[in-house]
Amino acid sequence: MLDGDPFHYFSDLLVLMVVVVPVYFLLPWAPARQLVLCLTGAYLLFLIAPRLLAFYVVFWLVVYLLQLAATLWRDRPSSWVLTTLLVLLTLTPLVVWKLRPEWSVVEFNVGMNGFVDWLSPWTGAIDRVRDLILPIGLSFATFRAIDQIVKVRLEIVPALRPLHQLAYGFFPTVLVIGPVIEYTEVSDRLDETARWDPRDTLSGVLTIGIGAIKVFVLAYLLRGSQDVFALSTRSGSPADYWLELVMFAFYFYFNFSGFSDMAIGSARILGFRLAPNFNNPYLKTNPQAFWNSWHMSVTRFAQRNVFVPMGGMRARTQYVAIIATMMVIALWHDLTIPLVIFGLYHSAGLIGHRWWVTRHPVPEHRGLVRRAGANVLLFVYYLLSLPLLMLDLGALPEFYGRLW
Amino acid sequence: MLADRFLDTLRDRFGFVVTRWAIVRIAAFAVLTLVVAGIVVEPRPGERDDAALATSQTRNVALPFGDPRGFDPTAKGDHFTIAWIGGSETMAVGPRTRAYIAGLVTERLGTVDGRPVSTDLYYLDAIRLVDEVAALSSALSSKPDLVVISLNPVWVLNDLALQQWGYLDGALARGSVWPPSRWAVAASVLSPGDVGWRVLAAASPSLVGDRFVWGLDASETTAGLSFLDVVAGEKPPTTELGALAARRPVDFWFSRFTPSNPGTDLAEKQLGILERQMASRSSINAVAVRQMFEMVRTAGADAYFYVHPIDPTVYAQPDARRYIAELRAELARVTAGQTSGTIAFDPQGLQDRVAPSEYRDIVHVRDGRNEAAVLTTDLCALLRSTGHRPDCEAP
Repeated sequence: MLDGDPFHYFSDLLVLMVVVVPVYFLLPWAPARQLVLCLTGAYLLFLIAPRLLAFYVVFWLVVYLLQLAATLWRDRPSSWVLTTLLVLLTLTPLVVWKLRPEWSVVEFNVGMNGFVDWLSPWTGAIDRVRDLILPIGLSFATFRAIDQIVKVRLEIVPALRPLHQLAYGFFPTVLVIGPVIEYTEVSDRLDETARWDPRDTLSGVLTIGIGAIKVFVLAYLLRGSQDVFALSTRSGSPADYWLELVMFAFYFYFNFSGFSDMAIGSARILGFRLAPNFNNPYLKTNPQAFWNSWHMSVTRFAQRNVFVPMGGMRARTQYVAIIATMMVIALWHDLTIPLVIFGLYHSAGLIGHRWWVTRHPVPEHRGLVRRAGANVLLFVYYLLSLPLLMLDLGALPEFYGRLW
Repeated sequence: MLADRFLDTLRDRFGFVVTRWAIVRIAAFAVLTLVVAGIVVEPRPGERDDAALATSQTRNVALPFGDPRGFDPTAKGDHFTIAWIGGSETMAVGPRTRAYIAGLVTERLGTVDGRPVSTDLYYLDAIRLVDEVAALSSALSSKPDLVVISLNPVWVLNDLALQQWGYLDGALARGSVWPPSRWAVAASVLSPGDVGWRVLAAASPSLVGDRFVWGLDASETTAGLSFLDVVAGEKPPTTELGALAARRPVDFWFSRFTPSNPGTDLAEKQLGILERQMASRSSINAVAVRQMFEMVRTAGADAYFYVHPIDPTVYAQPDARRYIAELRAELARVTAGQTSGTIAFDPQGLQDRVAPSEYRDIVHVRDGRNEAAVLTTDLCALLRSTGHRPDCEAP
């Protein structure tokens, strides 16, 4: 499996925390605690594959340098050119990977193994035992890095010192499956005196438990629905396909949000209160509420760094900003034509909804039937976009054909 | 967060406040529940899968691939027990015969000290050095009278594939606790999750330890939850990334380090692996080999290590002869001072002593009788030297 197994990652993390949590809270010095966080994350990456750790060491060191560069010429009017350049540089590995996956994945494995082997033949031998992998977590890391560079450029946060950079870059709970945390979510806690709060521990454990139930019970039961997209080996009536698609939607949600809960819960045990990543998205009644509650960390990133700068809060430019925001969210998954369609499709939904409510304001208190109707309508609209996430362009007509 | 709202509700309705003692109580209760469940729940023993080759004296005790319990050693009885660890090189597969070489040797040994010989074979296809360390750990826990370890000349010092079967990590963890000299290999290949699962399995054997069987049941029960019908259609062609994901790391790295043409036969490819072995001179392999000697020494077991011979027709080639000579020299260096009166190993291997046999490729023999004869002679000599009375007259 090229994309790693989050189960093993969280198994390792949770066992590691038996040692890390007491050490973290007993250490009286903030730099030492930052080092503990960094080493824990680095070790978790090492366990996936030493070549992945080597890659991220290089990646975050480059990000450290780029954020320093972002502080240069901040007062000049043309400084946005430099900022754009830095953001594009940060995006480069992700874009290369998405555009040429076959080439880049092989070169990533071979190149980073060669680097590790050059550093230590012993570690090189260990690395070759590990599975072949994608640059796991790079989508999340890239957005976190861009957010950091932009925040430093805008002087929202000071340029990170090396230890802060490593503690943020290797923050141990979010390395594989997100969420896309902001530096400001962890910065205060990195420097303040760490006091153990039993409530944080219990709340974290409960959140991990909720996540585990979502992943290992609910998503597990629904896992067969992934075959809904296996066009050559599955068949059924249109009704069967709709029902299976609903099952898949819930599988997708439980699996993703469950692992997010586990990441957020693990961070909470260490006293970090990360923002939630999902907030009952399937209960929402309009597209805007849906996207504000689905993979919220990416939505927040896109709102901060795309929607607002592009004039999303102004009437004249709001629709362009919506399209740009949704394209960033869509293409974050992959750089394919179906995902371009996915972005445009949901942009149309958001724009259509905004256009409608400005002309037909929604009453504050709606009846249950009306809310349920809006919820069902939105859910069906969302269901129809799932094939765009999962299938190649050529397979889409056949899949949609089976729904009717 | 949902958890916070839940805790607030508990506080408002029942006055429950989270204190450090509440955390200790909850943790103690969780552990107790796990232990009690482990006692109450019926154990789910694994099933060995070697009916085709098992005899009354020899059986493969490996559990199905993926079962983290790894092996199911036979309970100690009145027999003289041998634990034999090896991979596919210990199986002879000819046009009409298919036998474990360990089984052929066991037949020849007959009885030791008047007791019939019983051999547990820790056999896995594609077993690698660290897998053998894990198997040895399991084997030693069953307190065998003699341990025999086959070292595959193609892989023993090769850094292309130190380990193949990660699901044996639990067994490896168990045997790596003490002494500290074992920590280097353990730290290199084990993960905290392996250790955690091992600890939980020890606390609750039938619930956590038997999780492979529970998982199979759960998977089987829930596999059919779908509205769609399965049809026999043609699967879409595998993508390049899909093909890459399906490749074993060893195959990928082998193809990168020793590229060969599509028509290259297996023996030539394996010769390439031997060549890589000489180039790698992997220190972690050397530590793992020495660890196996230390493990049998610490356990007080009689042990016999041997290097399986390669195909004599390949060995006749100058390159192969040179690689084997280098391997012998390296193994002699690595194992210097490791042998004793009860632990035998000849770095020269069996190569020059086994009468020529026919091979399927560089290491897989078709008829194991010639090798079995030499092994029987060696084992009898070792047993006699350690005060046992083997009956080596059997056929």
